[in-house]
Amino acid sequence: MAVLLVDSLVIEYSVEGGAVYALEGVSLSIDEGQIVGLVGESGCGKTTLGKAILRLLPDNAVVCAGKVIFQGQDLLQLEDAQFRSRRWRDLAYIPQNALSSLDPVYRVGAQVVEAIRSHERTTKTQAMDRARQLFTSIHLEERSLRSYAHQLSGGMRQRALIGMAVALSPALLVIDEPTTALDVVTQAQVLKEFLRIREQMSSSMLYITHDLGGVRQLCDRVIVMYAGQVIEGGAVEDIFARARHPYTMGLVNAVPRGRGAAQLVSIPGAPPNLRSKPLGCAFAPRCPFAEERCTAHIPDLRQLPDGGRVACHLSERSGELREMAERPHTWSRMGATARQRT
Amino acid sequence: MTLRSTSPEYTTPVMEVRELKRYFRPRGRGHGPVRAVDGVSLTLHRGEITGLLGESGSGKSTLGEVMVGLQWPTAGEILSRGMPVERGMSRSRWREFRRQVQIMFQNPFEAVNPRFRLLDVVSEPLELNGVPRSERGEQVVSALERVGLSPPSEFLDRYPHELSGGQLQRACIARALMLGPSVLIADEPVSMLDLSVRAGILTLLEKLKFAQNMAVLLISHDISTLVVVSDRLAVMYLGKIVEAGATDEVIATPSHPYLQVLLNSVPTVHKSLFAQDKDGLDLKGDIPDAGNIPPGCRLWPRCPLAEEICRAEIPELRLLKGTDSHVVACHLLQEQSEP
Repeated sequence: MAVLLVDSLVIEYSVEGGAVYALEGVSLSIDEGQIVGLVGESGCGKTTLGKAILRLLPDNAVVCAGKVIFQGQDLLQLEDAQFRSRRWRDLAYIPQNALSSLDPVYRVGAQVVEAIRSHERTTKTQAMDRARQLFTSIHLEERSLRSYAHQLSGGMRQRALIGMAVALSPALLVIDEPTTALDVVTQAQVLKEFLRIREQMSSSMLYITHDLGGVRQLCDRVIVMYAGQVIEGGAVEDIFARARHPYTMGLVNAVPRGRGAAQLVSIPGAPPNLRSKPLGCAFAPRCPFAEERCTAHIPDLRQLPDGGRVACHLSERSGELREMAERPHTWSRMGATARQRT
Repeated sequence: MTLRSTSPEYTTPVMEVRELKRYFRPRGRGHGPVRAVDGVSLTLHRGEITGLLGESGSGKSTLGEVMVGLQWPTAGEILSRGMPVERGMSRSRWREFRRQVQIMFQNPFEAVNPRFRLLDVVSEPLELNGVPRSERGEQVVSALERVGLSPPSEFLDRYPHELSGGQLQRACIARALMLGPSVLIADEPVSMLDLSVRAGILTLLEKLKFAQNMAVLLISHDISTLVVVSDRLAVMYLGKIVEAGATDEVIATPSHPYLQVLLNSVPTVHKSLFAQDKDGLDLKGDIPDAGNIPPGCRLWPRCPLAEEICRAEIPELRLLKGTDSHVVACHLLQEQSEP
């Protein structure tokens, strides 16, 4: 049984003058011990999805349809108290900005102990011992436990948060851009940490990020989102080597690969304004391969024989399109048209 | 590879800093000064992009701000087109310096007045320098064309929040170019932009270094970004440059342990961007505070190869034998290098 099953989730934000559509029917599943990457750029809905799973959405968010089934239970249907008992113990969140997530007036150790004791009947001493073991296993010195958040470096704070999140060995970790504020060397160490945690605790993880390199290092599968929808999904190596959606192709080719800006792809235009639902494929205005049917009909997310999924009318020709997508000219030549259409 | 003309205009540095230091006052009793920039020497040339690589805490942004005149150095020299920049210089020379060296920042939304339309954002430098209103419009239109915001008429009346990050960053570049500077300091210009938009900005900088006949100092913590457009690379750690040289050279033969570990740690999407050794060196611990800089070589507490001399003496930048300009500051490379 999948640890997490998101089924056709539709979420909008209520704003002045109407609504902004954040998720347009998103479905995904994560099995035990699996690390799934969720990638996409600004406004794609990945953060909304992460928060929806943990019921951390802001007040103006409206869940219009869909389910979030965790270990067989629809989290969206639970009472607050029921959900609170599961949060942290069974599913935990590692947020982006460690400094704003740790209480500045309590020592870090006390916060870990609080997290443990709010879900398990242990004495303070026992909890402290657990915290100590935990910190050592994530390569944090014991004295970090006695420090305040501002006394630790960015990397140490992030690791402290990871420590708190896994203190109770949750089955699912939702990790939101954990390495943005960290330097490259610490980033690599943090990602290794997650792999160790998966090995030791068989935790499943949803890794939300825009960093494709990190995804490649850490994830088994990847889901690509655009304008509130899942447009492609599959095994990590499949996505990078054989992307089937033009947007994924554009992203992969936008990652620097050495000297020369001439080789880098830049996708012209911008993601759509989500105040109005798109008529056809949301990416069509920026897609170098778009045809009539692309602007007329929203493509279905189809299952592929190798287990992947893609939502594109042209997916049969993806091999041919991939070759063209590698050339920056393919994208830049439609620059003016893309800008006009968005 | 870029061919640089051998005329003096190109071979003399358009900007130079020598042993630049910027210290901040200590936090309290018993603490030393915060040595954000601790003896940095750099030369910038027209038609060249110099990449400055450093993580947060390395002093890279402070260096950029000192070089553009937003902060005074604690010690050291700054030369702009051969002219010293120092306290007590004449007002007209100071203004000339401020025109010659311009800067752009990481977050374009924080770098512009949200109540200004783009026309006003980009023409502000002209206004501050007494260019009559009647002439400003034309110059702004031409600048917007140059940075790819085309047709300009579509952008002039828009407010910052109506633009995407990439578009606004282009507008910031246009603003920085208005006075025809000889140096553009770009501090993390693409870090906050979506991946698919970054290439456009980097290509633009590459184009402009020749079109505007200027030097670009590209500051970033992301080596992948720097490698794309930098002609030369300098690596900063805790306030000092530890390795520098032509980009191809430095990437092919990283010599300082810090750079080696860094290149090993970069998660890559495309193979063979750097030669990576997954089981190779790693650094212990975290980067120390700039208020608590270790004695000797700053890296020694974390360096797996550290020896006694590393703790005792600060290594100088030395030229690696057999290279034109590849310099490294590491005691372990005494044999392979010369002063």
